[in-house]
Amino acid sequence: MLNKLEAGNKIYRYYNNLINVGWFTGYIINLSPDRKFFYIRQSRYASHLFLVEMAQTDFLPSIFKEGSGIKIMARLIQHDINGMKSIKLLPLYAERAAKSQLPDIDDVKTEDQPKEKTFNPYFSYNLTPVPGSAINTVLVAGFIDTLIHDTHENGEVKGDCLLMGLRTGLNDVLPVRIYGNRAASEFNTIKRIKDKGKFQPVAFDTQLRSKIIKIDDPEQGELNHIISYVHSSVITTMDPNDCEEHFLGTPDWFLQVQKEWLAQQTEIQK
Amino acid sequence: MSNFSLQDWYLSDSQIKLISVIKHHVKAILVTPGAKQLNSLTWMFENHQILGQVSLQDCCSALEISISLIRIRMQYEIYANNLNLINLFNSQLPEVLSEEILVHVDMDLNALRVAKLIWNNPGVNMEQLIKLTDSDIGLSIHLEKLNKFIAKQENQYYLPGRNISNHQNINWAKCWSFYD
Repeated sequence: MLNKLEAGNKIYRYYNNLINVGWFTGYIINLSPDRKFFYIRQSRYASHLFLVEMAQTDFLPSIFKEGSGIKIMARLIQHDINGMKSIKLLPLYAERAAKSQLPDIDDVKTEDQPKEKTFNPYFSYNLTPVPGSAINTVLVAGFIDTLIHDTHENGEVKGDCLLMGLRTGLNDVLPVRIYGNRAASEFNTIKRIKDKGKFQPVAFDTQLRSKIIKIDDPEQGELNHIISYVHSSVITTMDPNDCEEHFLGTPDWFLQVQKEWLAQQTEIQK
Repeated sequence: MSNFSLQDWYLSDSQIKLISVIKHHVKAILVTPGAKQLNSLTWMFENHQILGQVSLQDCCSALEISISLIRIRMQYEIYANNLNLINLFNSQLPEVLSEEILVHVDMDLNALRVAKLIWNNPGVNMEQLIKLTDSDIGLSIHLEKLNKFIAKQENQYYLPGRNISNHQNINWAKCWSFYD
């Protein structure tokens, strides 16, 4: 992980030459024994539960325990769950979160309850902690890979939900969901342009969300999976006169992606 | 359809004529096997422009409906009538369908190829499918992946685009998001 000085350097916000960073606060739950995996929890609902995986050479510093508050600056990485695309967070920098940055959840269980013998100003002098709310900010840019309407179980199209695959690297496609009544018109706007919007550059300044998806497994019955996605109400296509902030340099991998796609297209047309 | 007349839908006379052209070809596909059926299948699924004949594309643009909707619905009707139309026409998958399939099968081109084979050969059975793909490697896996789009009737495969076996009462037009 980076140190505090390095974490302030904006160059680390870029991944594959595109901006790809998020800031999250919350409580640690389900910390794995090897301190490699945990979930960040921001509310009592599954929609604010995000999987964090430390880099291969990293582990979570021992100042953080199950249930303690944490603030991370993280990369958004593609994560496959049973053939579905999700997002996992790769922390670049982790620090203790201020109480004002942490959400108020009643049933947070810490690893060890506050000991009565040690000094605690809140308990000793009967002080009230400041109210807080969680930080959940995502800055991510990429190219539209796929864009379709979500469908109901019976096959009918959901008019208010689009599923987008956001290409952020040679092998990285992040799931983005566009919600709201404007989804259908956003869809038509994108699909009317040349190539039906394929590889249209877009940049999202929005939030990360999760949802539970139920899958019927023939052997293990119904399984619940937590799928994270970038949540937006609009497809923010880039302004051609003002897109420097999203790029660190030329994304060299893009030409290969495009070449593969063109080869694929001729294959399909055969 | 017989309970109300088309005039009630505020259609012009020429539009009603175009509907009857489409109806004629649908009937030919579903009822009369032979040369007429072959001709109508080509008219319905291939994009050839025959001189002096109104094409499906012309009908659809005049009626302001998507050509893909008609074709996908035709596949459903072929399935509902349990027809077996192998090697009679050769067309592309509608883009709405192929895009949705590609997202669903995680960009697996081989699965899309199987889907296209079933689209072009509605009513194909397993042995014929193995012959057409030249191998059976992964065929059952592909078919399982395509489960959401395929309908099966007595060992025959169809590609109506939605697995309608459990849901008889759905609005077909609401199932697709067209962008022609």
